[in-house]
Amino acid sequence: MMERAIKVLNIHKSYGKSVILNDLSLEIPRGKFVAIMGPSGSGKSTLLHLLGGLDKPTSGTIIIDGEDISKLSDKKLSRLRNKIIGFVFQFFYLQPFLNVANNVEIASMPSRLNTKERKKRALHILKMVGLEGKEKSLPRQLSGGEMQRVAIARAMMNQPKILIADEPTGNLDRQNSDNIINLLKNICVKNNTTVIVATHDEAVAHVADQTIIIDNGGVK
Amino acid sequence: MTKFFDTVKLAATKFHAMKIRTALSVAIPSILFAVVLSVVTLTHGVQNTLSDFNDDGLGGRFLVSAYNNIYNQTIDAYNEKYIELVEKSQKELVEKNTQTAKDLGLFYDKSFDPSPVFTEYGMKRVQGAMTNVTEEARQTLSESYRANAEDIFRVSAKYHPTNVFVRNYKVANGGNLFVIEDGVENFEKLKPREGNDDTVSAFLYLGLEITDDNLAQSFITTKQKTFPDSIPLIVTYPDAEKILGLKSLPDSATPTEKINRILTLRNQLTDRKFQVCYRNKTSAELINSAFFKNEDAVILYEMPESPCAPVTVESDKRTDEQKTFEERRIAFKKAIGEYEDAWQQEIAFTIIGFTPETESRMKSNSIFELAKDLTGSSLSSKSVAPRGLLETFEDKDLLEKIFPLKTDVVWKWFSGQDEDFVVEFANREDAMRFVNEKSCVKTETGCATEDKPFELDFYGNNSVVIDELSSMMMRIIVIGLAIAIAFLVLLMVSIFTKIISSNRKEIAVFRAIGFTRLGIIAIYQTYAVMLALAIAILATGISMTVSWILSNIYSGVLTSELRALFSSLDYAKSVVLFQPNPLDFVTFFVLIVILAIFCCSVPAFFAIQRNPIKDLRED
Repeated sequence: MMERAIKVLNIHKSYGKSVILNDLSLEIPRGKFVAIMGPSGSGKSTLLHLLGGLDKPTSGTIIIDGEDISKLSDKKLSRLRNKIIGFVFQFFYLQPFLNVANNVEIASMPSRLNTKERKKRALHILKMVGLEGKEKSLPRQLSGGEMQRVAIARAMMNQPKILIADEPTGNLDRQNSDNIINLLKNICVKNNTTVIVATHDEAVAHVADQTIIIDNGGVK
Repeated sequence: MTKFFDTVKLAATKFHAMKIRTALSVAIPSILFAVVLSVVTLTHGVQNTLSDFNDDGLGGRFLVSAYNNIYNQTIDAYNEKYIELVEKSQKELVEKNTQTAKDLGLFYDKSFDPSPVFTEYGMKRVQGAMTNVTEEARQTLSESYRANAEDIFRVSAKYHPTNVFVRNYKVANGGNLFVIEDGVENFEKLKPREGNDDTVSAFLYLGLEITDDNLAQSFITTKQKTFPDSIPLIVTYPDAEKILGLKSLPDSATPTEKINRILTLRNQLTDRKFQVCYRNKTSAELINSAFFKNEDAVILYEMPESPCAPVTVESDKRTDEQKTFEERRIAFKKAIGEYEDAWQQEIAFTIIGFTPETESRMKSNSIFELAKDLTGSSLSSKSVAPRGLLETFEDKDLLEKIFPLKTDVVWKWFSGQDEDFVVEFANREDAMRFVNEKSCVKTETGCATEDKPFELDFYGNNSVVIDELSSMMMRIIVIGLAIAIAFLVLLMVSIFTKIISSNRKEIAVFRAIGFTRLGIIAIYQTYAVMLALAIAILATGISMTVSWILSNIYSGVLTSELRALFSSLDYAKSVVLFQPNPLDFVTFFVLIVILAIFCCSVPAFFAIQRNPIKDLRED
């Protein structure tokens, strides 16, 4: 039987009177590349944020790595986001005045990893995402695709079990998008990392092991 | 929790990220704090300098003069009760004198004691001139309490005085003092005065004010310790100028001119001895008659040929009857103790020190005068003899003969007592309470009561006012500081709110990466501390520079002004406005860091409470 990375049971999420997710349940196996698709406003990002412990469901249960995260304290959720989950955003959100290596190292700051180990790991990951030699560059000296690689490297810094990416190619051209999709796929395969990508990009769906369509607050 | 070094590293990125905002955040508070720091630094300088200069004279001491004011000023000449009392006393006086004359076989005529009551426009009134009779009547009508030395201890006890000094007034026994210059007795003082011009005898009044050495000490410029053959005197600067025939300096005089004047007076007059001729009342009257010779008078006197010699008769056209009448009158006056034969004797005075004149001006004519009035200290408006040094004068009999403790009712009534007191306190509060609670209140019938037997006033200096001004200044600085801090708190809260609200996405990303809320607050607090240190360093730099420049510009001129103001010839003393107090800066650094942490924590706390999703979605 395939090991579950995430199990979502009957979650509801609403902001005021607006219902975003309604009685949604799903399971995501460990080490799979999952694409979450759906029209704008369907609740894809909300689902990602709930899965990443950035938000809490109005009701329902989310089990990640065997633990119900809807009951965790803020401190434990922070720890979960730091150790188990890696986030990649559409707009990268890099620190403009830190170089590439330092941007990647940021992710290990909350875990108080020692400096030597941190640097070694950052260099290794940068090499993995194809940014060897760019360690000292500032974000403004990079292309969009390179910046997203740095964001992915940052997300991978703590060797998370789950990598959550919200529209990672939404701000890139086709070629860069393809490169990022391939990179995410490689990470998934080589590291046995569960990769969940919310996207409108059909190309992502093509490489995904599983595609979940969200519509009207539920799984279609 | 994030490592400290990592927190600092992330906080430091904000200096790059928000250059203009950071620059403004540092510049505006820095300037404001620099102003506050400069004021505090300069205030320290002013306070320390004033306190340094204030050591001269009576500065810094909390002294209160206590004077038994029993004088009833309001009894008018037409007061029936007053007239009745005067007439009664006059009648008793005439009866007593008539009886005395009869007992002694002497001639007495009531015209020897003319009545002070006379009729004017059909109404009785008492003459204005004081006589024993009129003043006894005033005393009888007065409801004032007559205090003695015990009263001052009684009323001041609960205010914790540290010292009680006695001041005595000895009056030249109805006679007059004439300075002997170059072997000639100078009678110029008898001439009507013109303006402020005066003679060398200006410092010699009709009396001696004797004060405690403790009070006089800081005004003494002589090194002599004993004065066996002269009376030691501290004279006022204006008198000293008159003695040297110098005109007072104009208000526009420069500090250097003022200092030079003080130097001149001190150098030329300290230890200068004046030979003086004391002439008793009879001798002085004869001198007066000889000086203003009335050719129509029946008896003419001749001025003495040698100093302090007796007056001689030039011509006597009196009839035998007139002579007999005068002889009898004199014999009678001698019998009742109101006449003594003419005598005169030389006595010497030595100038041993100087005191600025006490002057209660209604208004000051210049800032210098205002400052002088405020900060100056003085012993008296007259010449003063320190009691201890006066004790070294050997001819005690002569001293007592010339300056007896005056018991004459007119003198005692007019001056209150022949002694008054100066009470010293350790602090302003006690001195103020004593004056406010125990000074008698002047009424139509006098002032002193048993509970409040003295008219109290601050003595010798304005320490109480200066201390109060100083406290007020400190209060103003503290209030100013509080307002500046309140303003800065608002400013910093608004700056940090702006900074943090523009960093919401970053905060959301940090939270997504796994930073705890406290970890994120720590980043902003660290940024605030760095900003605060930058503000503190800049503010310190600006304030030090400004204070130093101001100090350098004004120290020289202020030193001269203060030396003149305090009559200080101690050249080691100078105005140093730039007197930074390290404790102020430590306090300031701690204060600004705490403020910055507080001002940043409030918006940061609200920012981390936000749902990061909302902030991430804004794109």
